Amino acid sequence: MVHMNIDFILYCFVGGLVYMDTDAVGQFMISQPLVASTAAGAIFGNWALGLTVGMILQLPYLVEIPVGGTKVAMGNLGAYVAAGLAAQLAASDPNKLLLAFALFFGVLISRGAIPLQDGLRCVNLWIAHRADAAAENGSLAAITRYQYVGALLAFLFGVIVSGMLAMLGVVVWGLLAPLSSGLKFNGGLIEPLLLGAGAGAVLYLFLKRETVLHALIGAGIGVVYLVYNYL
Amino acid sequence: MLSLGFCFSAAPFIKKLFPTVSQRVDFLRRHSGFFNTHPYFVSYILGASLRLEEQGLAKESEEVKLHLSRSLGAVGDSLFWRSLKPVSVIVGMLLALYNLTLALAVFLLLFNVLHFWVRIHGLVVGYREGFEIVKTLPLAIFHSIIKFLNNLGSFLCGLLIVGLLASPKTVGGLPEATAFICGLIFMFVFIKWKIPVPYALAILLMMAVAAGFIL
Repeated sequence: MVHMNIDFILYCFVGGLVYMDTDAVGQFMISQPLVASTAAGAIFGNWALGLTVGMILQLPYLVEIPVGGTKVAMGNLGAYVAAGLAAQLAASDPNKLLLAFALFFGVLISRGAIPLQDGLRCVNLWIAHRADAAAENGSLAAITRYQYVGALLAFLFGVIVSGMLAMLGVVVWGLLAPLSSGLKFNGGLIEPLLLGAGAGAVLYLFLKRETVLHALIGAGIGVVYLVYNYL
Repeated sequence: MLSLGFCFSAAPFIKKLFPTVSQRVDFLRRHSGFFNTHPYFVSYILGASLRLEEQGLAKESEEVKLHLSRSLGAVGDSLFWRSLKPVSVIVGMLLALYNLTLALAVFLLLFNVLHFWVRIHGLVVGYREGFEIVKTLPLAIFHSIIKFLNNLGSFLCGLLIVGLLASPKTVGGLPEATAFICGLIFMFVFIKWKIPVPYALAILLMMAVAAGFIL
């Protein structure tokens, strides 16, 4: 139990870093699902499942471009929570529906948690007004302080939201799992269908009339490589 | 809120250049208004703006922000969010099929080499050029990089689709390959119809779960 708690605290801490890297500080891409979900899986002792969730949820969100103040889905945090939830529950529950539930929960978070983010933006706006007032007094120390407060708030937001949503996910799964225990379910199509969806998303992003040939050459080289390896 | 970050980044410089409170107030008033550009490319503006402040050309310092913020914002969004990030991700995903550590390292390196280069180069060149940066900014080079990355992205897309389809880790048999192609087509259509990604994913997930119960 103590071991579990330490894992959960570490998971929340990394959740804070993931949220911070998404927008507020650095943007070094450690918050991308490929990295963050694998980390979430590793924290709960199942990096392979984390990687699977990360690969599934990485590609589709690439089409959402954060231009200016556009509100985009919180795909990074959603994927992080989904991976943490899947890895955490998979250790004790072999239910095949678990991956589908975790992914669905992550996708819901990516859209449903936007109002929470709006709340944080309101707080940030208030901080910015305070900083403007500090600028009027020429107080560099205050401006620096408000900047750090903004970064800290983003971190705390990530810690709290990732932790609370993971706990909510565990509770919801606790209610749903008994209902699904007697059902026959083949979960083998979830991963290929959603990986295909990701491929469709990046294809949409890059495929234009003038780049069709490049895509075909890429596919051709892939086929040749596979045939060569197969033979 | 980017203007707050701008003033924060300039703080060490302000302390050195403007010893009195009234000078600092003037600087902060000039630079705390609305300002929006790409977070990486802001370094070009920061460098140039500080150089002009140092030369006592406060008006030019504001003008350089006005001139460059929009064009650098557009270039930054195209270069980093629309081109480099997807390309790095695709390379990372392809490598993840074989070696996870290498995949994560290459993904982060591919993205961050250009990221850090723009941040450092922007500050150095912006400071060196001052107002001249408006004329000498290598926008044509950035556009060439974007075009190259878009072509590379298409090429990698083709490779990724074949790679994912053929990998026993992800797809495997005929039903899985069919599901993969269905997912690809559906997602392409959903995005074309401007359905938000989370909704599209939720629909596809429900389809996969329904198929899982039927088959």
